[in-house]
Amino acid sequence: MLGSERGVVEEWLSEFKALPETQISSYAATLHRKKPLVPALYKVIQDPNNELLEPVCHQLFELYRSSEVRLKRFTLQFLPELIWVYLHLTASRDRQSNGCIEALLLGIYNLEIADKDGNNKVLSFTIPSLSKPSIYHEPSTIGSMALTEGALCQHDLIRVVYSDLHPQRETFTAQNRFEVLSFLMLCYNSAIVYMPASSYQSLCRMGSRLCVSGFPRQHEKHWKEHCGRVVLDPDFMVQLLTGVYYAIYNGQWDLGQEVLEDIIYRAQLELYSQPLLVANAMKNSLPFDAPDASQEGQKVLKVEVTPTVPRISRTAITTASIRRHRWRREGIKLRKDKTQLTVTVKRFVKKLENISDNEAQEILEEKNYVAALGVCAQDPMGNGSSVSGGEVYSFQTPKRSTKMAELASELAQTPGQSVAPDHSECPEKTAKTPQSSKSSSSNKVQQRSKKKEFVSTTPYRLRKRLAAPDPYLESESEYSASCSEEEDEEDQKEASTVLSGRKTPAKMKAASMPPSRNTLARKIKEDKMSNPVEEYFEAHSSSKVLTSDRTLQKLQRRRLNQQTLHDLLKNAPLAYAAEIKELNQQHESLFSKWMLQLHLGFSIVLYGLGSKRDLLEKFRTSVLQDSVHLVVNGYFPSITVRSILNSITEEVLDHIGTFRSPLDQLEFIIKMFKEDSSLKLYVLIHNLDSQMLRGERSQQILAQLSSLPSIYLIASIDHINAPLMWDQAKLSLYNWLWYETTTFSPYVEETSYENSLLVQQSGSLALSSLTHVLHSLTPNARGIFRLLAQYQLENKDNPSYPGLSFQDFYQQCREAFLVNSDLTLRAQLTEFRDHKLIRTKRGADGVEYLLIPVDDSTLTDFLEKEDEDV
Amino acid sequence: FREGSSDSEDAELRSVACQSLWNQIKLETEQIQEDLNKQLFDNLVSFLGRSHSQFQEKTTEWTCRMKSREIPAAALILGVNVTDHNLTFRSLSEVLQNNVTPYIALLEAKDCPGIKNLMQKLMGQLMNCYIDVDSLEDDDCVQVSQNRIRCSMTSLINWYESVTKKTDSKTPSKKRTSASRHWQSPPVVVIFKDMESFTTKVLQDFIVISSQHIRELPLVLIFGIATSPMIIHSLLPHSVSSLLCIELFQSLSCKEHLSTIIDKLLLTSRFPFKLGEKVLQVLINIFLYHDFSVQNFIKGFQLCIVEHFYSQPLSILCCQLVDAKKRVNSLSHDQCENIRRLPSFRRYVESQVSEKQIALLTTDSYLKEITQKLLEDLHVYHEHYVSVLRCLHVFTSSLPKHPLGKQIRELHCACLENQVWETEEYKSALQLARMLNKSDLVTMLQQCVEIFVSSSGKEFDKTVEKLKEFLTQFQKLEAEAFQERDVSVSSQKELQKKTDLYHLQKTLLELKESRRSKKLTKFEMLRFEVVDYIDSLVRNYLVPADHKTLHEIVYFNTASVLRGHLNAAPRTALHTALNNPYCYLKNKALKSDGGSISNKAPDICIVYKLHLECGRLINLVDWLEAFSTVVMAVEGPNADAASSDQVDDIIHARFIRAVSELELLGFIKPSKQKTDHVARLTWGGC
Repeated sequence: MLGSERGVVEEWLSEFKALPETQISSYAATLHRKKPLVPALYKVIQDPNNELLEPVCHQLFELYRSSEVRLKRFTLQFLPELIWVYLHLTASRDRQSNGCIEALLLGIYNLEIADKDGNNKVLSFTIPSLSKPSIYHEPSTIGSMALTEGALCQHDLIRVVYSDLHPQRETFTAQNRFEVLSFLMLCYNSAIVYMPASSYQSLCRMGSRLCVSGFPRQHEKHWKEHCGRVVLDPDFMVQLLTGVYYAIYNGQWDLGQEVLEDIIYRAQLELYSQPLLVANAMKNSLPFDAPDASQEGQKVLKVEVTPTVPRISRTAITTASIRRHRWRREGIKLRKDKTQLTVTVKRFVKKLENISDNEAQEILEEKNYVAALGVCAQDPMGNGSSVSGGEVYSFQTPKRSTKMAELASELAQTPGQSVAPDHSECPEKTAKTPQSSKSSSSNKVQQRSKKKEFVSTTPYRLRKRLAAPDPYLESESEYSASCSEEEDEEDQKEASTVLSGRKTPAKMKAASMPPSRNTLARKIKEDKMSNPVEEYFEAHSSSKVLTSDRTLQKLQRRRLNQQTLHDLLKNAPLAYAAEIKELNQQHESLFSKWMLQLHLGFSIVLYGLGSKRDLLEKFRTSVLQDSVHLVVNGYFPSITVRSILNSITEEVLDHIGTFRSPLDQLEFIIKMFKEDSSLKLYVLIHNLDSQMLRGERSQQILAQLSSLPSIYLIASIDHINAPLMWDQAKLSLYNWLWYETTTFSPYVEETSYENSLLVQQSGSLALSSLTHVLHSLTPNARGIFRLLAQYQLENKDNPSYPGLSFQDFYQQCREAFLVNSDLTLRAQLTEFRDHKLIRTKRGADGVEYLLIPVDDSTLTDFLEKEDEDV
Repeated sequence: FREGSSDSEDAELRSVACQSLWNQIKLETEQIQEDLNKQLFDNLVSFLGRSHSQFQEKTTEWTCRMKSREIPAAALILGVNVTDHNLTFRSLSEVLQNNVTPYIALLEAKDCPGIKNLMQKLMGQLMNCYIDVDSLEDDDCVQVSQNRIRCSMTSLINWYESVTKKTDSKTPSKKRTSASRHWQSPPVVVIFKDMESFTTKVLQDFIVISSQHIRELPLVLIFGIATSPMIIHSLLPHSVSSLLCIELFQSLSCKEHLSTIIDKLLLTSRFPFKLGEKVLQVLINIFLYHDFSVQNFIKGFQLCIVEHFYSQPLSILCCQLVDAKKRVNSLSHDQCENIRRLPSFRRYVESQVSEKQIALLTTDSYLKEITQKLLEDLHVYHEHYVSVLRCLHVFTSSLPKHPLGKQIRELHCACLENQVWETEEYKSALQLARMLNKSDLVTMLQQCVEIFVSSSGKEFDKTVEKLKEFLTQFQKLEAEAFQERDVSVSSQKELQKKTDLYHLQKTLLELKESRRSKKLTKFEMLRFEVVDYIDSLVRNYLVPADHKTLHEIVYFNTASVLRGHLNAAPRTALHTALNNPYCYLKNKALKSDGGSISNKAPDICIVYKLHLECGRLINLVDWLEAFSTVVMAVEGPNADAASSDQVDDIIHARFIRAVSELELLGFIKPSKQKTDHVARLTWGGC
């Protein structure tokens, strides 16, 4: 960076600080005279590594906060560049260097969303009245009966909100980024008439870079730096287009058209309808060559107006052509739901705003234009097709006419300078008032306090979390003697001795409970009991769990493991073997019928209590012996549709190769089966409703498979809610025939894979693996694990115990002299994780929690053992 | 393939008969379907042609340009049932493919969660069908179909241009004037199968974007709508719907569809197979209360046919009369025995003279002879039945309150159920019919005449004559009515002559008297006569089918089987099995008096019943204890060897098995809320 430029910037930075309050306005007036300052500032902003960037950003924010409108605009002119740099850095994941820009953007946003009282601003405007005559229209000549004065009056004074409440933002996130940026662009667009040419250039540059970078089109451009794709939002693009539209007609003809092309390109690729609509309309309305550039600096938006009807569509203002069309179709009814039009009207007004700075001579032209439209409007009216395009323009005119007077007076006062469009939605207006500095400062305070709150949230949340379990625990240990009685009624008959022994502690517990909550609840309950309906809900609303606290651990008999269970059951005689056999024989007699029906295109589903596995096996061995068939053990915990499809393609169709997705595979199978009609395949699925096949997608695929005429499906279901898997479409694909086959035979195979509740699964295994792994570790590592284990055991009564947070753990380890830095701890933890001794998960607040995925009893055993060893 | 019942030589024949019958019926239903859809499709095709023609006139006029922004769209109202629609859409796309354009894309909502997916799907389908159009350039298209291209409207347009250019190049016209290109270019049809389930955003975006390119790409949209045309406006805002130029097409409602099907399949004598009353009722109920799917109805019908031919050995005779007679001659002895066993035949035998009885029961040949005769009777009965039924329907359908139902299927059911003339509804219907006015009556009679004339039965000649006679009488009546009116007028005049109050009163009273006791007018007499005649027809011909001998051969009546297969209740089955195992396991020990838990029941039943007593959460320990006490009660009090809280290993194991079985069945699931607890999932538990 050149020394002179640096000097300019530094001088600028210093001079404002020394400025007394009274001279601010004069300073603002002189600011634009400093020619080298603006380019120098651009340079600073573009270079993220410049040390001046931070003070510059700060200074720009100070200027924006100041009461002077011109200073505000000074800051605003850099907005496109700032946004570009910010998005560019964000896209290249260079978070560190864009901090100050991010802060500046957020600052401007937070200033703009609130009005001078610190309330949230709602940007809105009133739709001008059509019922009152203006110089452009006479309500009585509008013609249609529906547009009488009275009817039109009903639509008067409707406020159209075009920008709703925006919340304060403390940080940028991926979700709110474009919400903020679009709003900023809105602010920029509302002040766009005051911007110098350099700002327009920067806007155009930003637009085309944002849209093209990362796409093939980038190579056509002559940019030095290349960067990754920037995510864009349709709303933001629309705002961008609004700005670009102004720039095109104000000196940036070539650049502007390039941006327009780029935006269309991007919108087409992303399939964003709104930007596409606006951009295409803009493109279609462009004149053939650049507007007269001789009146440089005159802020003109030229609209070519010709009275001939066919050309109007081309010269009509941007989206108006589309909108007019729409208006005509919907006629007057549309006016009732104007709120729906918010977006459109918004844009419309924007256009008007831009136009508002036109010269008087152009107004004359406008008159012509309107007259021409009036002519055109008459035509369709003759056909009786309600109100035509003319209406749109007569709608537009009063808007302009209200402004005309203002325009004229202001022009008289300050010739040469362009006029502030005096819209209610113009965000500047509030800022213009003298209180604005106050409001912004109060804003600041608000912001700051909010930040404080934000900081304090984490501990608060923690506190809350700590507090939360207490009532829960309470409710869990709550005991209502009457209920436990009811529950145990059954046992009372036969096992009263056992019962009395265990009921007393329960009752005692109930007594010892703090009575406050319970009594209150009961009182309420008593009040309500009169109403049976209330009673019902009362009975079902309580989430209290009314069971005893006994656990299996207290039983002397421990859990059995799979093998012993199996052996034990083998010895146990099966009750009613003869009857079950008879049942089975009944079902077996249906085999030939099944075959017939399978061949006729039905699929067969078996339901009823008892394992249907043996039955299907028998069916397979007796009937399907010499035909191609596929048996799917649905109860197998790792079965997937993919494996089913694979076995069809590989083993039945002898196809070698892989498929991208199950759907592709399915298509292939369908094709193969359709081509070769001699192929026949019987598919037997045990437990079609198993955990793995239950999903919507797998059922869909299976249904499609079964709908093939040469695939015969016979399946069994067990789950009580199994029929809920299928909707009408799937049912019609499956084409089920239901057969009730209650067998009463035990589900031996099916349940052996279930992670059953009572079967001791991996306790011993986990314990032995724990000890083994830990024995191979250093004493320090063991200590670390012990700490974690102990902490977890201390918290074992807390059901929502999330684990030990990493930071706390680190503290504890340090205090026990187990580690010296968090890196060593992390290294150790990685080792544990590799051996699956611990599990980490992220809490809601982003903190990492550590957990030992072993049940408490095993952990206790382990610790005891460790103690013995030590 | 075998049919697996006792006599195998007939099985072959039966299966053949079954197949041929089913094929006939299938053809018929397809034909019906086609006819029903024909009108709709014709309209659609002409609509597409018209929308297509819009692109030809490429005038520069402003209004025309505005109009060309609009996407022509057809809204196809199909009604609620979704499953049948696939078929409709498939045939629709076939029709379009043949007649209008090769470029058709069928989109379903579940494939298109976002606009990009939609475009991808759309382009994939369009370009695939391009492959189908000319398979010469497979190599090119394989690359295209790899989805490597970015899906955007421009690439779609490029594709379209390249495709149309190819067809263009055959014609000598080199000039690429857009008008000539559009002349030849077929429109691209995009069908949205289920418009309601599309995300509105996706639809809006798609419509807006494609409206931008409508001039380069002649797009036509077809929306499948299940509810009402209003849905378009509630789904799409005006700004979007104004981009569409929508035309409505209404397809036949499924109820009408069903009645035509019933009309064509059941109420004809063409098909020898008939449905019994209960079965028909089941099928109609499934249709009305479950799915509104005509497809399913037809499937049910198919199942009936299969069941009938499978389970009824005599169904071999269920074929056309000529064949049936031949087959009767070749019946085996076993089959003859089967015939003798039929309840309807027994009734017939009992009504015969004793010698004949003996002959029927002993001589096969005589039996065959009689059977032939009976079959013929049955056939004739069917022919008459249908005509008379229609005739009766003509009379009853327009009666107030519809005592016998609006639809002919209801009447059919009523007639099948029992003797219709004995029902209350029939009586009230007749009473109402006796009050019909003349013009209605005449039109009805005319309709009846038409029905009888069109029916093939020879016996109806007489009936037709009779009815025609009625008609002529009515006409005569009309002539007489004039005179009558004259008479009444004269009496009025007479009345006016009387000036004396007393006389007036007297004559009035006389008039009243005469009116009360007046003989019925000729019209009324005739009306009674007509109704009585119809009544006699009904009594003659609408005898319920199960009063006919040998009806078992052609009627399928086991509704329970059908219901079990089509409309099963797996939940109930599970529940009964668990609650009352005696239903399945016929063991005396299981016969319980309900309520209490029998200790002899299978383990899972005990566990299930215990679990029913519990609340939302179940403590496993308590459960186990309860289980063991129940089970121990069997072993008797001498089981004191095991200590009181020490549960026998085997019982423990049995308990575990039962619990995990319950888990598999979905009654419980492990709960993390409390240790060693399970959550109950069914019947008030949750």
